[in-house]
Amino acid sequence: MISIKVLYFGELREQVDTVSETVQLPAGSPTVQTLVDILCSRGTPWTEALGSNEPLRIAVNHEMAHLDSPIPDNAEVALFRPVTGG
Amino acid sequence: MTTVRSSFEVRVQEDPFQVSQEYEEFTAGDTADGAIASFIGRVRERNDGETVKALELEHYPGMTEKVMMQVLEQARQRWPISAARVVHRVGKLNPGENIVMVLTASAHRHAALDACAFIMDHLKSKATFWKKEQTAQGARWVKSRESDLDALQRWSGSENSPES
Repeated sequence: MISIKVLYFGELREQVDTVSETVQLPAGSPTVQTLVDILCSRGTPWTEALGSNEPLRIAVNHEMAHLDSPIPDNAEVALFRPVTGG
Repeated sequence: MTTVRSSFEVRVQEDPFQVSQEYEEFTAGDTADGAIASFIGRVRERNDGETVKALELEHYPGMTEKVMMQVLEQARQRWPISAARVVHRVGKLNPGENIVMVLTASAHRHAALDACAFIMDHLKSKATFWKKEQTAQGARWVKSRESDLDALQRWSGSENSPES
């Protein structure tokens, strides 16, 4: 198993009522999809928040990533909706 | 002999910024640049047909600053700008308050103006900020706009290259 930190921002943070948490992922090249599947297996509200048609954005160690991006050990992964700054 | 400055800086802060003070600091000691371009974004009191009472802005500390510095670096590689600064506020803001300020400096105006617009367009769709509006109908998260992505398209061609 590897251990990662997961952060939630904006609307998604409210939907899952979580700011940050530590998540264990199975060893053997886990990806962002691996993480999303684990979170969705918790049921409500995770399935609704992560499985909806609302666009999901992902950053791994402060770099924008995709569902097939690998997650290294001790990574910081952030999940959020499209940005609206400026 | 002229003083050549190299100053690329981003700041995220809750406190209001003073436009005149930022400008004075940004230009202090510089005698090489004949052009400073600036953009200031403010809280609009109406958005999508509703009156906005207040705005709450949050960001991703660490990543937000990193992305903004990357945008400044892209602008620096594309135009002959000697300095650029972005100040972006977070927290609770009221209509009429300043949200963001972009400053760019160059010997001549076109590089400064184009770099300023480039930086702002890229901040809108790249920098990790999120806005929540308080309206009479309740609170709502602002959705990203297709028009912001469209705004990036104009920088993807070659017609705006620094050589032109």
